[in-house]
Amino acid sequence: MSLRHLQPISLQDKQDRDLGRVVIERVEHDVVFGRFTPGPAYPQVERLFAEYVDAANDQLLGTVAALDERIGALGLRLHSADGAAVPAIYDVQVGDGVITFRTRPAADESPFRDTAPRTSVAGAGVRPEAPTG
Amino acid sequence: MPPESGVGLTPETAVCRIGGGSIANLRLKPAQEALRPPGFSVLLGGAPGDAAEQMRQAFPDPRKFARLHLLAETVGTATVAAIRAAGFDVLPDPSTKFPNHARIINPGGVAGFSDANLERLARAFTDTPTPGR
Repeated sequence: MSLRHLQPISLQDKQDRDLGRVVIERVEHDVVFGRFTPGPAYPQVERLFAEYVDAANDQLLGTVAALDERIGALGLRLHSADGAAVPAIYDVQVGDGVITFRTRPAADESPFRDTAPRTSVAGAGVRPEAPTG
Repeated sequence: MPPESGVGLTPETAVCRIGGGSIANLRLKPAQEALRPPGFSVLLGGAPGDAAEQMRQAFPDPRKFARLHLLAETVGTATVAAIRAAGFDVLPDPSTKFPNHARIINPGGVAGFSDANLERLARAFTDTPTPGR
């Protein structure tokens, strides 16, 4: 299974709010890149993502950590219109019409059939936060 | 070498500042002045290229995070001992995304980040080009 076969998919939160439409473009290592079109509920969370981008660009890594928690608490998930199974996601970053996130593959299946070879980089092996919602 | 968590911080521990060790890149921004204690973010341990790559992988979209990716083409590296000798200190501030995150602080708070003090601090850093792959 490739995530590209799951389209169209939408981004929802734990309250089932429709935050936007996601079109997967590529997968690099464990990061999925896609185009993001805001949905009706996105304005309610847009500020969080905008603050996140600003904090990262300013190297305010303590602020990034706090925003990571707040974004994680949204319980973001993918939703496939045709009911297909979708992987759990975390580390969702949205801005400039682009969404990136990481997935947790099912134990018996990897969504990364189109994944580029992993590079060996110190620090890259540190797994980001577990999903918080 | 994997990033250090801040536990076991030694005088020889490498301290990496994305964007280099110029005074302009060490000067506090308003959000950094508001921190308690005030300070700016650094990454502990590893080589300059590791720190740059850790940042690129944490914020993978080169468009949203264009400013950060540009900064990551240079990394300033010092040691804890050299930073302390310049009158500053290193405060480990680990987060889930950056377990090796720390802040450089000054006993004088915001006032300690004067240009004269920053000149001393800047001399503790050696800049290394760290272009993306």
